[in-house]
Amino acid sequence: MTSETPTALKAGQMFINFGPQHPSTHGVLRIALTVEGEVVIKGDPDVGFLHRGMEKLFEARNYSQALVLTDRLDYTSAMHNNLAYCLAVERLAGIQAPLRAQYLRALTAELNRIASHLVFFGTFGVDMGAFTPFLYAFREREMILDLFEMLCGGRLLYSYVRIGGVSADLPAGWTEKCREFIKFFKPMLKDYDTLLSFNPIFKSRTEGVGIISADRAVSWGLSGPTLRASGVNYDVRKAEPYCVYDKLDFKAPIGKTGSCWDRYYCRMLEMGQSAEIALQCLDALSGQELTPGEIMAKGVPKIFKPPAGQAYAHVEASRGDLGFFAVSDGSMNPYRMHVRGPSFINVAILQEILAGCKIADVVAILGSLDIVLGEVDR
Amino acid sequence: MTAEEIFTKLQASFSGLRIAEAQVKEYPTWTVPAQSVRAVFEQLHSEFSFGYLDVVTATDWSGPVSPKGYPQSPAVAIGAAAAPPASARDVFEVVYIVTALSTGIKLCLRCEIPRKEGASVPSLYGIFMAADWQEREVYDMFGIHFEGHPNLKRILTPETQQGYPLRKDYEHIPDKFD
Repeated sequence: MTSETPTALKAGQMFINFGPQHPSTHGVLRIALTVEGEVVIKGDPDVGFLHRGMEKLFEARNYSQALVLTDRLDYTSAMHNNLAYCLAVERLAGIQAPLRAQYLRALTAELNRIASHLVFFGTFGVDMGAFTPFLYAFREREMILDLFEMLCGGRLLYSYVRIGGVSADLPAGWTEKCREFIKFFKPMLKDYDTLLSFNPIFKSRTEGVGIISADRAVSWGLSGPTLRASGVNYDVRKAEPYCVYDKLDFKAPIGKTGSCWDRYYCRMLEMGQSAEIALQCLDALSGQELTPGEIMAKGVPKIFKPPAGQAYAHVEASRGDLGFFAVSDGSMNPYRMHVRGPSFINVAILQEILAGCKIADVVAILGSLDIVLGEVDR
Repeated sequence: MTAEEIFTKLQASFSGLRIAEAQVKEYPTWTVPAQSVRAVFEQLHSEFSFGYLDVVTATDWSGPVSPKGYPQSPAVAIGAAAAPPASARDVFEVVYIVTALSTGIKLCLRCEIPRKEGASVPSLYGIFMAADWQEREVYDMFGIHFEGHPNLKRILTPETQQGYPLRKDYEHIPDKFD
């Protein structure tokens, strides 16, 4: 957070504060813009307005209590946060979750990815002046939230994934409801394409705007759909499979040019893939090999002390490569917990790509990065 | 090329490079002296195609966190082990995790520096742009300086912030929000 004000403006230049109280910033992000007419000369993203000192808070709670903090990082995809945290702590303590729990983790992670991308789809449409898709997106998202509510009681912050497993097995009737949803959802993707993806106005606002080359994307450490849209084939689920992703059949969609439209469309394709993964998980969960109720690793104490050591685990969250770096000194509380938030790292590239674009494109570029400020500021 | 081969090749030019005693689980972990951090990463980047910097972070090894670092005594106790653990020593440890996307090798490099005001390590800005904000975050939280960083200022906390919050001995100064 800085109180940077205009310095050395040339004649004809103007300084604009974009945010922090601006609906298109999706939270509290401030961008200090220097403009000349309609053209942005310099854009400087300013973060920290939502800083809650999460990494400090981790150190004052024990491992199970700290789990609820992770929900509040990227609050639109809390399952991934829970999962990445639990994987890091499990690695630290040498715990292996049972296979059924791993399938449940993959299933809920993919459903959460759909829900999270639907928020992106809806809000990105609104950013571009298309209000109708938002209503469709939230109708479908509601169904996923209902499924999660049935499963663990939470609609936004789940704490469903626990150290050593998950908190509950599928309740009666859940599998059918979930299959029904996926059956309903898959044709919807075609509707979204006709509603927004190939709409000429939308395309002309996003195609060729905010182009990020593959080299720059890698150098800036981008991840997730934002990286893959630039044509870099890197997906943690493929590169370092966790849970059961090595047994699941799916593709990671790749873009070509790295423009706003590519980033948008990568996410749309990902939703289709996530639905396929969810179906495969459902098949496996109703199969004979996995005993219902076996959802917790044996011998995980309520308050446990992992041996002194360090561990890093990362997952492909909705917004990219979410990592937890955990350090234990052998006591009840984490000695140090660092969160590699993909949004924090993705948003930094704005400094480079905003220069030279039009003011109206700032909203398109920011929206296409799909950041969540809870994760940027932590 | 495996991580061991890369290590052998690199050690020829950097004798200070060591395989860390305490490994980060699942990843090859090396320790590197502060003065050769930038050179090691330059070589990793140019010769071994490690182009993707995952993480820059740090650990303060001076002991358990002080309860004074929190606005009120937190609802949750700091924990029974208030005595410094065996690992306590007066150092900051800067941790880097770097990946070669082409081979999928992920390395963890650690660099210990004395824990004092003005502690510094060379910046990786320029080799990896991802270092820009992550180094600023480490500076903001630990007060570790990254030499050569063009814009090293606080990022998450306000400019009025006193002290460095993630240091273990950080003390919260009550303000109007308490």
